[in-house]
Amino acid sequence: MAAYVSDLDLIHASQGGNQSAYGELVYRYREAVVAVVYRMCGDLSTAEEAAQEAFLRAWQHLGGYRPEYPFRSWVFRIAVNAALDALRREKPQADLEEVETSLSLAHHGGPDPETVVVARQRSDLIRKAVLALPPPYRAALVLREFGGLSYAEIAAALEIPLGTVMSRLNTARSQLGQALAGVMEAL
Amino acid sequence: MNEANRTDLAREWLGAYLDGELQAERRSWVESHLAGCADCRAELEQMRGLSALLQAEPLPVGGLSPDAFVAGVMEHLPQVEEPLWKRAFSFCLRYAPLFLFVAWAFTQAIGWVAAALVGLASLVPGAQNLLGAVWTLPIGIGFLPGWLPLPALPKIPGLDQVAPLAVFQLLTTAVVAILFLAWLAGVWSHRRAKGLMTADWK
Repeated sequence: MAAYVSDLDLIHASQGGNQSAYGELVYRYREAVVAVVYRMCGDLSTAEEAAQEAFLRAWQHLGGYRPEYPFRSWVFRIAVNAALDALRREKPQADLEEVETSLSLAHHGGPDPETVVVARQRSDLIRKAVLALPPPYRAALVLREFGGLSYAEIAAALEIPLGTVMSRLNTARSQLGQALAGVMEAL
Repeated sequence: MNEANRTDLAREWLGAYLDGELQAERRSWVESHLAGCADCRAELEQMRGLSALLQAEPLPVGGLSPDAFVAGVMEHLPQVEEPLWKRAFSFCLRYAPLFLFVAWAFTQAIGWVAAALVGLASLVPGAQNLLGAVWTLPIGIGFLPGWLPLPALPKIPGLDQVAPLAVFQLLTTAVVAILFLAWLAGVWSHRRAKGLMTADWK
């Protein structure tokens, strides 16, 4: 059985050029980074590409990482920027892959089609409501709700004051609350 | 501060209160306000419901497997140029078995050719002096009988001259075998050390 290596040891080894150690770091943070980037850009394949791009950028700037800050918030900051860059490059497009997956679930003994359709519509509404937020507000909300970062970590990740984090979160939640009022009442 | 102002202030802090980000004094103030303000309680519940709704929303299925994702990142990392001595060492280490086999085959061939020449020389009178120089000098085994404890040999023509060759062949085979085993051990320990770092994600 392989011995467990801490994040800090992996970061030090990666800073020394050890690509295997960095591979392990990517493995550990992959899911969280993809989740954050997906909420930022709303498309899974774009999110995965942007998340991989974020890890490449993180490798290039690993020398500048200071271990006194959580690696998670540092890599999330890079991921959010990669997501915004991806959004600037990509045009919005229909997510046929997800639709096909939902249909496939319905045809292979998954939940009944009506449930799938309702869940699908709700997911679409949530995704569109989040995407409708202006990027600075969306970034703060995504890092809080999907990344689980504290206000201080969000402030460090987005390089904004703590008070700005609070006001952006309030605005984002207020706008989302209005947009999703119908969904919340239906639950 | 009138009630409307207190409610406005509380609403500014409700999100931070929900996230557990308020300091003790401010948190107490918000809690005391919530106890007497139905609107703020309703708004807090709405925020809590919104947060639960967002966090319960799963990622779409499909996409890259973890290994494929990591591999996609790793293959785009810039390759680090190793110093010349390290590359030379890696080359030697990689082809060590081939070098050892060639060395072993070379010494074996010399031994067998020399033994054949010695055998021939013992059968042809007068040829021994001529051929002796051919096999003893290049491979340098003429000194072996002087310091190796060799068993007494039966009186067969040419055997006393072939025996050092057999010892030489055995010695070179043993040395090659030891070097090969050392190479195997080195490769195994290197891979094991590397595996400690990579086994978790491969």
